[in-house]
Amino acid sequence: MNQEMTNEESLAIMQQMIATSRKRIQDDGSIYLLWGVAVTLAALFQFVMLKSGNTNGMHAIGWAVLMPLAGIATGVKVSKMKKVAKIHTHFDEVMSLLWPAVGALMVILIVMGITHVIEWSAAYPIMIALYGAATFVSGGLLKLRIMQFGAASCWVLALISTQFEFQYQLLFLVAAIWVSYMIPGIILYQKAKKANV
Amino acid sequence: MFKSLDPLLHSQLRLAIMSLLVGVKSAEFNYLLEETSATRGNLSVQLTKLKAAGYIEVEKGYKGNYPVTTCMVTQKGSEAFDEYVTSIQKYLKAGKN
Repeated sequence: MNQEMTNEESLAIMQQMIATSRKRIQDDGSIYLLWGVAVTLAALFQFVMLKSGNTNGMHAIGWAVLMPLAGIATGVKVSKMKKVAKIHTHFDEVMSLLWPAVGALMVILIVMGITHVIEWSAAYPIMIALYGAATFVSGGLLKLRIMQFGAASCWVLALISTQFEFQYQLLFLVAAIWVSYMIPGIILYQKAKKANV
Repeated sequence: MFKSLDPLLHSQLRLAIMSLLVGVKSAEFNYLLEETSATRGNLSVQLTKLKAAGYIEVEKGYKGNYPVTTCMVTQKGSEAFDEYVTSIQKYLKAGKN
C-alpha cells in the first residue's frame, strides 16, 4: 500500500480514512441513560416523600444512595471502555474534562445547600441549568441537535422553576433530565446498536 | 504556480496513517493495522519515516500487562497534512478546468 498514486486516489484515501476515524467518535448513550434513570428515581422519590409530609431529611435519601451508585457504575463503565478503546479522540478528551467540572459544581451547590448557605430552591434551578450547559456542549460535539435542543430546554425549565416551590422544582428537574439525557441517550443507544449490527 | 506535493505524504500507506491520525488525539498501532490492512512490518517502517520527519510521535507503554504502541500527529505533521490537502485540491481544481 505504499506505491505512487494519482491525486484522485490520494483524495479518496484521505476521505475514506477520515470517515473511518470519525465513525469511532460515537457514544452509546448508556451513561446518559444511567444518570437519567438515577436522577429521575431520586427526584421522584423526594417529591413523593415531601408531598406526603416527610420533612425530617429522609426525603433526600434517594440522592444519597443513587448518586454514589451511579458514580461508581460510571467509573466502571469508563474504565472498561478505556481498556478496549484503540483510539483516544478529542471528543473523549473534552468529555473527560467537562463532566467532572460540572460534577464539581454540583457538589459545591449540594454542600452549600446542606450547610444552608443557599436555599435548595435556589440551588436546584442552577443544577438544572448546569445539566443544560454540559449537555449543550456534548450535543454540539456529537452533532446531536436533539441533545442541544434538550439542553436549551433545560435553561428555560431552570428559569421557570425559580417561580415554584422546591418540591415542584423536582418535577422540573425530572423534565430537564428527560429532555437533555434520556431522550438523546435512547437515540444514541439505538444508533450505536444499529452501527454494531 | 503549483507547489510540489510532500513526497513523505504522497504515498498510500503514509497518507492513510496521517488521515487516520489527524481526526483523533491518539491511535494504537493495532488500530492503524486494522484500518490500513497493511502488514506489521510495512506499517512499522512507514511510522518510523513519519516519526523521523517529526510528523508523528510514537509512545510505547502498557495497557494492563500488554505492551501498546500509541501514535499521535504533531503540530508539524498537522501543518504538513493541511498543506498537502490544499495542494491536492489545487491540482484537482486545475485538472477540472
